[in-house]
Amino acid sequence: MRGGLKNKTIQDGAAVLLAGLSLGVYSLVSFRRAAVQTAWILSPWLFPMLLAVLAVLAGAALLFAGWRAAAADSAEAPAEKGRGLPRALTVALSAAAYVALLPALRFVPATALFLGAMMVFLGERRWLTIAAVALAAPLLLYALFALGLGVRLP
Amino acid sequence: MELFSGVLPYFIDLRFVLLCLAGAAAGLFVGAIPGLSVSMATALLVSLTYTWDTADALAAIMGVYVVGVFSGAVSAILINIPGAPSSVVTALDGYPLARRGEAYKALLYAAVYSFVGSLFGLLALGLLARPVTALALRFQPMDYFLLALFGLATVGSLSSGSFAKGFASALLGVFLALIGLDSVVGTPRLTFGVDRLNAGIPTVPALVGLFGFAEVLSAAAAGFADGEGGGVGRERPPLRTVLRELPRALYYASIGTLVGALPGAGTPVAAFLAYGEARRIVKKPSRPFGEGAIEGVVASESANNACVGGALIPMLTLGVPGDAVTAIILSVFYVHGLQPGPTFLMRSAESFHAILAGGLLGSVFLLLLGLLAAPRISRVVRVPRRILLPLVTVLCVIGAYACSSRLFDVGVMLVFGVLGFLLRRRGYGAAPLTLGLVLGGMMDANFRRAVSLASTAPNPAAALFLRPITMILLVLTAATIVLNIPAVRCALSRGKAAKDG
Repeated sequence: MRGGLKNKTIQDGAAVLLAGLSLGVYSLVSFRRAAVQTAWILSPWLFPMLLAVLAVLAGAALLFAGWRAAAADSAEAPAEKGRGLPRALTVALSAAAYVALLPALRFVPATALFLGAMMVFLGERRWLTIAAVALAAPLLLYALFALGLGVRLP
Repeated sequence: MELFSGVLPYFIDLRFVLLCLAGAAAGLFVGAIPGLSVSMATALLVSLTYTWDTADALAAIMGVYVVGVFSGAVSAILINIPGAPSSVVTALDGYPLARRGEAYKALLYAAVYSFVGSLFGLLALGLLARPVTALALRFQPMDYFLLALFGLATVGSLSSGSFAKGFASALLGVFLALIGLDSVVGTPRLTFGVDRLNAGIPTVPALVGLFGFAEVLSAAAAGFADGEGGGVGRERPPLRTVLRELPRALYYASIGTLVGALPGAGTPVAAFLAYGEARRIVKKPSRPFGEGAIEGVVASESANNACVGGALIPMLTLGVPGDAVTAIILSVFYVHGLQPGPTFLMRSAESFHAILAGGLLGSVFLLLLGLLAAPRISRVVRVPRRILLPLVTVLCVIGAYACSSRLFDVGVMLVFGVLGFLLRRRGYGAAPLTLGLVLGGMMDANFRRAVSLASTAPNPAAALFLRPITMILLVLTAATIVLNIPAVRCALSRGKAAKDG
């Protein structure tokens, strides 16, 4: 049983089942509230209730698939392994910081800073290349989008 | 014959040809840049063409439209950022091909079969506009709902290995599509008090995140960033090999034309359905689907370009646009005093011929530009990933921001990037989620419309389900779901094995 619970498909199935039930309950409560003003056939919560039923079925299917896999002791579906998560998180947080800095620093300086930092983080060590790309790319992108195509940049 | 003699003069009109070429070049450029959609380019061009002659305006617009739909495949194949929603399916196999150093081959097939699809759709427009319109007119709200549900059921099989995973992912997409102001009664739904969500999840930033930024995160996590970029590959498959896919491509193109003729369905649905069909009918793909099967690129590109001709059918004959671009083109018609509708083909034959000629010329330019520009554009994959990935991130930010100049959209892109990355780590594809996101609104509106209409009928169940088109779609959807139940699949494969001896 413990082995079964460690099965990712079973975990996902339980999560989808729970999400479906939650959506169903939330939609039902909202449906009853909205019914005072709107006919049931026009209620915005009619379709979410159907979606909740489908989600419960999908969750059950995932649980069943996971249970079969656990029973057969077969390998999990090809999911990427746990390595590299800190690297991906660092990239995501850096991108978020870049976006947060955009209004204050404007597009060209913020992009130059982000490109330089990211290239170093990802392993580029040729300083001339870093400087060239970090300086030229934002200017080229600005020229292309803002001046050439009239696209507003952050 | 009358059609041929009407179209021919435009082919020898140099001004018409050059305007179409200019539009095609703009379409190639704009469509390949994530965030700059074909509809955006057409809208910009339409604002320029108000004072032009009608035929000139139609030449440029058709050039942008036909080539723009194809060019979304360029960035989808090279950097896994679909330039347009229609190219999402192309990325599924095109990008793995580029990763294997076969970017040139993928672009070549994409160009050739976009040309085939485009030509097929336009010929269908010329020859079958009336009968296809008659069929499309018979579709009721329940049929649209079932068509979308069939799409979701089909897409379940797109997810690597598990139908349940694909279907769950698609349902998540539908759920996300429901966020925002309800289209029927106008009250906020699932926004949890966040006012910015009233307009719903912006589709383009979400797609850029799911495909582009998620790819950056996956590459960083997998350590690809340390290596050099893949090779372009100069394998030039012989024409005979390339054309081997032609019969199947014509089938996918017929799906694309039909789906294009259904108002609101659009190119992504056509591409997804054709891809599902490819998975079903291609018994021995060059590589497994999702890992670089060229048959997947062929299916997606021939179907989404065939949609161009298909989407024009309801626009010209009913005045109902089939997708966003045809809705914009409709405004050109009104400005130039043209009235689309059932009598359009008779009253404005000249404009109809100009549209056909512009589309056919655009298809030829698509092939030429695709073949000539592909080797040059595909060099982008030679750039080392430690340089390419930060640049792709910046392009994702620009692409998300360019849609409506809101930093909120960039935030949506980042969130969907992380979501796509996490889903991928657990073995869930982004493609089913995308289809759910695109179709969710249409499913909701049509389901409620269908229930509402049926509620006034003497026998609501019969009004909902007992129509030939509805029953066909119902059977197809049910069969797709049942045939993907593991127990049924096991029983079928056991039966087949026993039969084979």
